[in-house]
Amino acid sequence: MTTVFPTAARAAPDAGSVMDEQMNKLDMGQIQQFINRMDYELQSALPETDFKSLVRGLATGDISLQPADIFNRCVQYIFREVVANSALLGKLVVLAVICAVLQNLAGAFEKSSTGQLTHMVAYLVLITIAVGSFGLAIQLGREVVDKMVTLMQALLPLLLTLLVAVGGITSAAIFHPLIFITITASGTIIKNIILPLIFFAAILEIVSGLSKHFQVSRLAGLLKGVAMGLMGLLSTIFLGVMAIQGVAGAVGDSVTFRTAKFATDTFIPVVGGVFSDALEAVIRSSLLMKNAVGIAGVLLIAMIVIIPLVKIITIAFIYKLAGAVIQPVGEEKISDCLNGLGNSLITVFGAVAMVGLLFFFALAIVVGLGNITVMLH
Amino acid sequence: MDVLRELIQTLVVIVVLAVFMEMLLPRGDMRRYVKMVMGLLVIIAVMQTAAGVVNSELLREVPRVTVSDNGSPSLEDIMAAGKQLSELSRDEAARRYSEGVAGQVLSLAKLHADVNAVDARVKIGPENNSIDEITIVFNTGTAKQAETTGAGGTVAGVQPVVINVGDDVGDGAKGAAGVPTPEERKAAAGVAGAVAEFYNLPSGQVKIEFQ
Repeated sequence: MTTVFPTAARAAPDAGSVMDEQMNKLDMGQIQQFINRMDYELQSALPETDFKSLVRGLATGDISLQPADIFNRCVQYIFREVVANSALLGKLVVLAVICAVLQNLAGAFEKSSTGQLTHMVAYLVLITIAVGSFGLAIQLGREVVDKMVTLMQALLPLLLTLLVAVGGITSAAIFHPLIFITITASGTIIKNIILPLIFFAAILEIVSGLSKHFQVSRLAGLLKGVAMGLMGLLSTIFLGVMAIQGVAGAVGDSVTFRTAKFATDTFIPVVGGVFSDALEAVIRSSLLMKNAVGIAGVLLIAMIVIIPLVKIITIAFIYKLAGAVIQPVGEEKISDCLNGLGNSLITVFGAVAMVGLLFFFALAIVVGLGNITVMLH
Repeated sequence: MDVLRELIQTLVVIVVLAVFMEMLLPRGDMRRYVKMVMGLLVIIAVMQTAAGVVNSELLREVPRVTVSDNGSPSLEDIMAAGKQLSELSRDEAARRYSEGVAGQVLSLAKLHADVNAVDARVKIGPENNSIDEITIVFNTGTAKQAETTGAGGTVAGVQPVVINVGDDVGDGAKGAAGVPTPEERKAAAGVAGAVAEFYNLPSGQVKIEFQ
């Protein structure tokens, strides 16, 4: 919360000119292109669509994010999505009621298999609708992961450049291959392995609901378990590696800087310390800009991830609501199936949110690393 | 993932087929046998996929993740850009440092009452930001005058403004403003020596100018 709402992170008036000069030297074109390509919905949620102005505003405190505003917007999105998906809810409930009626009427047919067959067809139609929207939710999740990886690939060179500017040369050298590899790898694993595994598990769960005598629910559970295990492993490795490498780099940089400072202070009499003090004051303005770029990145990641997450959780809610509404009608099979789909969507929500969280931590570590480097000066 | 997708597709087909056959077949032993056969089909499908995965080159499936593939800038580019920013910071720090030291020098020079120091310039060296050269600028003929102002309320020593219109403009005025008296020169040299001593510099690095 402190990182996202930087009320105390204000630039001193004289730091503004140095920051502007440095900002003009930085290449922010890639991020600006990314923002320009974003949906209108996402762009309108941003306080400023020009990245340079956003960074400047965050650094000077002109742009401050109010938690109440963000909360209100999220609630607004949730209600809008629930209303937008009400048609899906209607379809599911009506089909489920038809299924229940057909099941009750099955005994009235001359041959009970006719009723069963009709019931099965209605059930398959319902599943087709449900799987269709489930597939869309999975696709949405994959697109979000893709967007986040693209954003990180545009943002990290900028942050690493600023890290070098504040003296974190070793940290940047350690992080450069590592951070890009872990981010790309985690994005690829989530997108190409974990999300499909969740999808397959959901499909098998639905198929298991077709017949009581022919179950593949254990295989579905296995796939879901593998997906969850991979997610846990991935996040542990990602955070562990980043944190350990980061601290090592920061300590190395501080040693280099302190040696140089000692040399300047000692060998230039009387005014040796004045130069180090002046340099530190200027470096702090670079640090301020780096933090502002980091906060802007976190804001962008949040914007990219929140709206799709709201959509996914809303669809999960719709499934769960449909399952809850259908249960009293007596259609246990469909109710279980919809409930299972809702649970799977919550897992998709978890996977996408985890990517967002990992990238947030990555940004926080890079930003925090610069702060530690300067603090250890 | 393609292998797994194919397995899931096969399983779905088998299960749906099994369900339909269960419905369409007459009650009796036949149903049990069909169920058994379908179960075996499921096992075969799973085993076949597992065998395929074991025999395939797993490493080929792992996507190559290298930094250059992502189109992200190389470490050299990042370092160069960072160092450029760092240089910018260093220049700014050197400017502030130079201004700070110049202020100190001017204050030191102003302590000397025999000369009137009006400006100081400090040139910073590239190595370790050591001081390369200090130039102190003095005003000629105004040292004591500034000091004598005030007590009696009169401004002593202010030269009358003479306006000459003609060809011989300012010959005498030029000489008076730019050329210091021997006393002033001596006092200024003393100030320069003190400054050089204070900053531990060779005396040649502290220069004086008169205006």
